[in-house]
Amino acid sequence: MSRIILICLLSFLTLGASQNGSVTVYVSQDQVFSEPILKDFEKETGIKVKALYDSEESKSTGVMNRLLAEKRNPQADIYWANEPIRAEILRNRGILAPYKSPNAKGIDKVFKSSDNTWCGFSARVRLFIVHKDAIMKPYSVMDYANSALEGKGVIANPLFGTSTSHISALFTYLGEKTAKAFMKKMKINNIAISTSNGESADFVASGKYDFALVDSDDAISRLRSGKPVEFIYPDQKDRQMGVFVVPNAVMLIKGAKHSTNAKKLFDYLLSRDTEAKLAKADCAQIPLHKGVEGPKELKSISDLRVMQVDYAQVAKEMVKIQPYLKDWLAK
Amino acid sequence: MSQKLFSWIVFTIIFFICVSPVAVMVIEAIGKEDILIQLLHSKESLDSFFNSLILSVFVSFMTTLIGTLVGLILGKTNISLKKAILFLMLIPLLLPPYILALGWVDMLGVVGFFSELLFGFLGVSLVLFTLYLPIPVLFVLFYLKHINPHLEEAAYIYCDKKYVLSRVTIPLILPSIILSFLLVFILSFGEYSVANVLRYSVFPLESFVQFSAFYNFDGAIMMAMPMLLIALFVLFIEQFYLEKRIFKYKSFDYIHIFKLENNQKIYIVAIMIFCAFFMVVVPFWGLFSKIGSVDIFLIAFVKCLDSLLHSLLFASVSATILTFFAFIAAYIVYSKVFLVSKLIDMSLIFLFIVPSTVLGIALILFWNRPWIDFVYTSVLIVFFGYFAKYLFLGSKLIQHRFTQMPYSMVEAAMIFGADWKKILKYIFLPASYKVLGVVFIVFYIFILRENTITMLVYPPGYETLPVYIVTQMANGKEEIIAALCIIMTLSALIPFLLAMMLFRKKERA
Repeated sequence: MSRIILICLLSFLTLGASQNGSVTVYVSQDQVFSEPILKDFEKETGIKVKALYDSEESKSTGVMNRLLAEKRNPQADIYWANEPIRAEILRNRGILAPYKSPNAKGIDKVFKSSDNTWCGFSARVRLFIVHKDAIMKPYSVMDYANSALEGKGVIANPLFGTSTSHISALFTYLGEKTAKAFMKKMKINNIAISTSNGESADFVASGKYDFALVDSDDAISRLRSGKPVEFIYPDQKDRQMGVFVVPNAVMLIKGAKHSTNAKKLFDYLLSRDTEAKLAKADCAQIPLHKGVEGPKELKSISDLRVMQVDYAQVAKEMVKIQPYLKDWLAK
Repeated sequence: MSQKLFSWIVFTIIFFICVSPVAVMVIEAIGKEDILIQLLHSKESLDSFFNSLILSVFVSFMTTLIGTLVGLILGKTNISLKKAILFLMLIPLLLPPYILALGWVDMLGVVGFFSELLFGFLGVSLVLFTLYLPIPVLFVLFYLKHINPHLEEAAYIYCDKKYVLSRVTIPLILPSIILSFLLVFILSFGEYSVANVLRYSVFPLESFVQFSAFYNFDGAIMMAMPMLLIALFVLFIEQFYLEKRIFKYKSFDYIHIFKLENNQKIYIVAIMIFCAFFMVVVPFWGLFSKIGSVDIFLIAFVKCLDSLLHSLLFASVSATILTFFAFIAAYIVYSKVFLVSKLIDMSLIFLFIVPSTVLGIALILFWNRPWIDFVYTSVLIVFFGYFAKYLFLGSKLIQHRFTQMPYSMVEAAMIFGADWKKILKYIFLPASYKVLGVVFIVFYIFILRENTITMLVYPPGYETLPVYIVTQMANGKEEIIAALCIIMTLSALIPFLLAMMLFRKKERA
């Protein structure tokens, strides 16, 4: 009896060790949205998915850091990031393996790496959530520095999440000097800082602030729950910079232990079906494949003026401006 | 095998699995002090450090003050509904700390006057106060049993109640008051999930973010150092002041009770029920009101079934193994084997007071190596985390049981030539059956509610329910998260209630 108990205990302690017929995926996309997709993949292929999800506490970068830690001894096969900047950081660190998925065909090359180490799919856009009672409304990101809107706006902490990516994209697009001048004016204009895009959206929904730059899924969720808000795509006029697009990104890990299954999951995530599912889900992501039906509240990518940036450049800028952003916040 | 050799083997296991990761972390930190200075120069880090310090002092002061009062009322007066009040106050301690915070958020919302109070120092203090109040209460109740009632009765002949209380009772339970203050201080200093939900910047979160969001291991290690120093300070006080005054006395069959007037009893019970209701029932009401329907509850249950099963499996198996090791560790400490007993005792208490974030980071640093990756890639690493964090609790409880046993039984066995293994098996083990059951339940509940270590080290596909709830907080539906919190509460409360009923039934029998 005692031996049986001992064997049971030992077999419990080795749970989690690598298994054939499985694929290990690290996921930065919110679990509520990514888990159903991975479950469908399991059902359709019979391949067991072992997922490790990020939490809001780690500012959605915890699993990426685990990938960096495991570089010499990779445990993951696939990384599903909720934005492409991290993919670029991992590419620069030599953690990714190239893979040209047949399902990547039809996705604009702006949303793919040139060496096939990552590929974008289902995107969010950065837009303004605006309270319905707001008298003056913003139409450009530059309106954060508009004195007529002093104290009316809020933005998520630019040290974390998509706010960092967006500010880095602004630095790439505008150049350092102009971007810093804008940041300074924004500070003078008494723009509030929130802890997350979700909190920014809540502040606007409650009327505490008139507007906030958030991800489209944050705006849609408030709109769908009947909050008195609307949204505005910034910088859509001629010669304006356009809206910043944040696609998901999928990548294959170099040295993946289950590379065949990993490629199947890679293809699955890039499929039109997955994009359609993510469009219908509460995260309301905009498909990058043409012809896939998107969320009814949002315009398709082809109908938007998109900010033309090189994500590799944005990733480099993001690392570079971290000390500046810390200083900017502290002042 | 001699007792000494056995003791050293046990110490080596504990040291290798748990202490060496922290030691390696400290060694790696040597020479990188400039990183700490740089980090502490940042306004955010410095602010968060002072926030944590002020918060912990405030929470420990308030819980110790009110907890001692509540403990004295429950332990030394003749009020009714004592067990119901105590049970109500105990509930938050059985759950992951953030559940209470989420309950308050659901109750008060995210905007408005009350939520402004909730999201900040006051809200975090209230939740941590509710969470840790049972600690001084339980310590006082436990210690009151160790006061010789004749001392109080002798004083009572010449003095009034207040004088007896202030000059006899309280001085005798003072070590428990100090210990509970230190324990609450260290627990609230290391706790960050409540502050994270209520968006209040605290130091452990900074350390966690350094590792988790910036992957700055050097930064994370250095941010862990101040917390490690505070843990060492608490260890120092425990070892050199409290150790000789705690768990050494025999308990008495009865406690001297101060009899209160009927109207006094009604007032006191009413106040205590009101407070317990406000602190515990109101946030749970917030969660329940968010759920709305049984369907939501069922949907949440189906969604979390895998993680619930992982939680139950981790908790039951780990609690079983930990109970075994706690018994062994308690025996070695109790036997006072030269040096090794002290080393084990100090290691266990040190690991218990080291913040979970520090322990988690240390485990990853130590075990994430290609030649031993069977640990890092399996549930073993999670188990090592639990082993390090909670072995102390069980070991202390069992040690206390040993001190209550008549030593003459051991002496008699020795005279008849029984070796230490036989004494352990035929005297200590049978005498500890009841306490081993209690220890199993304590381990089970603490492991079930754990989320910090688990979140840092769990292998893919094996998340536990507390971790699942945290990951669902990112854009998950509020009603589903509320339902998950209730499922978590039930999975902790049901075994606890069953165990209580079982013990009561056995006591009656």
